[in-house]
Amino acid sequence: MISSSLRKRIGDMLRGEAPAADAGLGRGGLGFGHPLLNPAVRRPREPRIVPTSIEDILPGGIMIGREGPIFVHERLYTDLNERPTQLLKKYAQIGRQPPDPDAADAPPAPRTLPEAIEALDPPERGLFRKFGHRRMLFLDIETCGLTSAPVFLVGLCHIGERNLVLRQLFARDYAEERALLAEVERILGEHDFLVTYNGKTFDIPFLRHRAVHHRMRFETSIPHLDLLWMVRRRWRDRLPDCKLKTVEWRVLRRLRAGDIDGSEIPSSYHEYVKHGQPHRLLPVFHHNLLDVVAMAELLPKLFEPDEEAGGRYD
Amino acid sequence: MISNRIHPARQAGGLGELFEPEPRPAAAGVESVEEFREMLLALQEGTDRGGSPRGGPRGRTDRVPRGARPRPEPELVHAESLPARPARYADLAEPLPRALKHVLDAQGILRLYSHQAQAIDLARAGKHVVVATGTASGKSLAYNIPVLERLLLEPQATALYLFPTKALAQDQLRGLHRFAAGSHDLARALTTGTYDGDTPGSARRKLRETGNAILTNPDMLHQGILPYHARWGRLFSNLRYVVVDEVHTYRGIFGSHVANVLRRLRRVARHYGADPQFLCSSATLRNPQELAELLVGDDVALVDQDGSPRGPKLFVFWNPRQYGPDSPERRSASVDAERILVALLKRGVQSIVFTKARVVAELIYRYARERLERESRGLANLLSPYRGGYLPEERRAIERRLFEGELRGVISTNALELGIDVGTLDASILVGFPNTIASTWQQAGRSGRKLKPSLAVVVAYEDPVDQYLMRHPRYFFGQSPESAVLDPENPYVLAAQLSCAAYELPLSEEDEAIFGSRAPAIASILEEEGSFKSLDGLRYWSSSEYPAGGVNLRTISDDTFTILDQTRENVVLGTVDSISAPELVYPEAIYLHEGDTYFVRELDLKQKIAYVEPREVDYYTQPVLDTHLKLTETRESKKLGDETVGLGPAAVSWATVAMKKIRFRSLDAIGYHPLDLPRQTLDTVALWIQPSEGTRNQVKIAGLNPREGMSGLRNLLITVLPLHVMCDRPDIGGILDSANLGEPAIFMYDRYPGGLGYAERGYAIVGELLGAALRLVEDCPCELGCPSCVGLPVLRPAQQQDPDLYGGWPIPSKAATEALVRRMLGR
Repeated sequence: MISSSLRKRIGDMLRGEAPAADAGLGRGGLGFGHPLLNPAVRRPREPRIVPTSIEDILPGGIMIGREGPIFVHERLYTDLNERPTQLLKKYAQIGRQPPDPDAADAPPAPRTLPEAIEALDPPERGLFRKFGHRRMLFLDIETCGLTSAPVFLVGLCHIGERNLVLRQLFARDYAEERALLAEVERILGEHDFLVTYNGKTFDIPFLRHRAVHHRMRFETSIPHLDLLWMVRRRWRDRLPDCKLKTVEWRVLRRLRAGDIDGSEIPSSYHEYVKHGQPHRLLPVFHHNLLDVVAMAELLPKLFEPDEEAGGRYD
Repeated sequence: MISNRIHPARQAGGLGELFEPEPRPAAAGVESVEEFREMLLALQEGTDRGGSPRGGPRGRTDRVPRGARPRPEPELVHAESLPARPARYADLAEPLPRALKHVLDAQGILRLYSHQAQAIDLARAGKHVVVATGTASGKSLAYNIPVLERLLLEPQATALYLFPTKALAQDQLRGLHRFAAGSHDLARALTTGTYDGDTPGSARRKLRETGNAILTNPDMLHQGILPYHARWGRLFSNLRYVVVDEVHTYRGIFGSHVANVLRRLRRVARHYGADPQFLCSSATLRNPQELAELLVGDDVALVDQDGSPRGPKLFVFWNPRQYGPDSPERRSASVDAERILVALLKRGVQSIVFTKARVVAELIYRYARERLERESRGLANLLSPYRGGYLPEERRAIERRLFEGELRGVISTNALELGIDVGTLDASILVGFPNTIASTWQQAGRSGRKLKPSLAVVVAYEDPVDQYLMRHPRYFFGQSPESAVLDPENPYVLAAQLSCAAYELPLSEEDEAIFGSRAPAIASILEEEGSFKSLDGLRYWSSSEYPAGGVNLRTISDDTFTILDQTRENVVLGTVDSISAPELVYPEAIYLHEGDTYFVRELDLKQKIAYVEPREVDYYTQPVLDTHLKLTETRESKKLGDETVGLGPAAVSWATVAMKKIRFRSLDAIGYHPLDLPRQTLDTVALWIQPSEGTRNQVKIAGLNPREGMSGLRNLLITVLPLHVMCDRPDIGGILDSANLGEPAIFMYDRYPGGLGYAERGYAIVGELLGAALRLVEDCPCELGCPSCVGLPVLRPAQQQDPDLYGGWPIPSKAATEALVRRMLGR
């Protein structure tokens, strides 16, 4: 509803419009009278804190695409004090043939239906066989709401030869959202398949709707692997819920410290657009980066048997 | 005007004709309006016998000994014969596509009425159109044909239909399905459904993806479609027509909001490259074209020459008799309405009764059912009540049975006044005057088939306005229907609506112009308040709030209470809105449902549930309401001559403080219990006018009562203020009160949480208002005061009260009012 301060200012505006001492009416005797504002009743603008931009505090650069500029922040996995070697090795494994069932160290044949299902190789492995892990793209978006609100940050990750490359594309204000969408679409086109967490339900339809909103083309025909679906299939009965944070703790044994609450993300962005103060956005960038890294670390686990995946599901 | 002579042919049969035990076959009916007149005269003559036959129920009529009134006053006080009107047909400039022609032929529509043809031609020529013709004149055909034609010719095209209620959307959906059933081509071309709060999730998705004729309401468009327009990209990109049915309901605060919702709709459509035409329909009003143009925000062509035929109609004013020559009290209007209804049903006349309150619909149904069970068993099951609060499926079933002619009579609140297609009936009985001339014609128009004679009867309450109209029947026939007033540029409405608009798409300067000259100033304020952010000449929504969620288009909340029958495993009996619940289903109340009595055991305000059980009793209950206004503070005050005028926030609160038990039919009060229910509060803004003691004394010296003068002035302000601040009368309230200031004062307040600036504006132009009030009362040709000047329009629609039990406010003295206002203006 209308806030009391807004109500008061509209009241002030009306009193400014009202002709003094009932001297006649505007608009043919009906209505509120003269539409012009009396400048005397307008409150002077509050002095603003000099806005500093995100590029003042985060390394990165302005990228100019077909719809204009956006800010891009890039990091490597090793920048996060993580060692990529083990992870890269596991990725290389996924696309290889599963172990020969007749080999001596092969696990025993399943005897019950749940065991049989458990033993089934994830069908998603085919993507890795076909394209290899160097041609995939992780994606996670940050938005101003669950539906019909702007998207402003898109975290991406691909696997390089010796490192994971993390990129965050950022619209510095609402007007740059078009450029952000255009850039995401272009980058998607450069990859062979997409990996998300709940992206089939949320991220990709959201981006599509935003493109429709801006009356832009947004085509992604590349295959899409939604890790949430794999997690549900495998661990639904053993985890309290399938949120990425929960999986991160139970499977990856990583606990997030100081992570921003998801519900605060929209207002952090709106405040940034209105008043600058880029430091308030750092937790959002951090949160997005952790989501993307968690996906990249989780994926190989989903192709490993339980004992190797090493999680605690109790 | 009235012939007291009874038709000789009927005289022989006398009352036997009317009260024969078995109904005549329905086909017999009535052949001419004269027969209606004779029937009612016979009913009047036979009042005592007809009113309470042997062993009849306890009725107050029994108390009047026969012969005590040698010359009873007539009950049939006026009968106006409205002549028949032949059909006028016209051909379209271009013929219809074959599939459509075929379907119309199959429905028996071989030619179009002139107003339909005119509207279709205008729509085909690319104009926005409003059709304002009588009830049941075929207005929906006038918008359905252009829409269906477009869908046939252009497979991509889409259309959006807006109805003020979900029930109407359901009804029109059935109409569209009937079209589709008649032609394979149409069935292929049309994918339709209702999209509202009742639509399940899977159906919503399907409609979004494939629907090309979406039936919804302004509230859903506002909260459930426009904010998510990207999901509806296909619909908006191809939007050719927007049908806005029953535009006369979009007035006052609701209309001001809807006008802005339609501006948002046009803006979103334009964003997707479409510029839809608006096809509107309206009941008869003084200003349908102006109303449609304000709503659409563009020029709209008017079609108001009704080409549909009308049979002759008898319009009767019926005033229930006083108990005796000296008694000020009249017999119950409900009981008289029931007598007329039963007489009509027995003659095979399909009838509808309109009541002003739910309880009255239930009472009349109960009385009529009782009598029919005794006298004409077969008819008792062919009668049904109808009102809000019944379950949707129950309502659909009643509508269908009525439409198919199976039900011979229905007793309804104004829920059936809107255009739900229940076919046309032979007689309408209006219990009490509806609050407006337009509603009266609308309800009276529910009867009248193409060529057959029809009847409309208004049964008066003891209320002063009803009695005035009974004394001056010409007054009613000389009045034109009211104008609908709305103000799309109301700044508070605009602030809310601009927020919703900016959320949907950033506002450009051109967009702001769509919302009127005041929009840029309000947008600036919103930006300074932090809701908007300007970037490159566009204003973006810049807050994590979802603005449409906090903006209700209507003043009435859509919160509902559920009424559960505890004896049948908590079966849901019905619903009631949260404002009315404490006035209808308070503890120990008797809740009437389809004429049956239920005892309310408990009202759970938290869970919003009333628990009831069936209980046979011989009484119903009425809430005793206590309303008062408490001034929170004086924000401003000034002098107008000697008088004081003020403005400030106020809390209007009301509660059910007690209940009365009333015996059926006799209306005897047989019990009174205090109740302890929480007060409901409306925080709003009020202005007050406080005449000085000197002024009041001056009126007294002239031999007049200043208090009456203040009542008269309050009533005048209820008429005058809405015209100056552009709202509907029910959007403001007015009361006299001495408690707040220690002296009597008139308080006028906005009936909307937080206020919408009506009182504020009224305060600024109070001298103007008093001048207009004085002109109105001086120019009124009446002698002592009438409903057009100092007489009171309804102050609060008392939805849950039986008007039979309340005398209403007397019409205050015209002379006292004139004297007071002249004095206040120093004239």
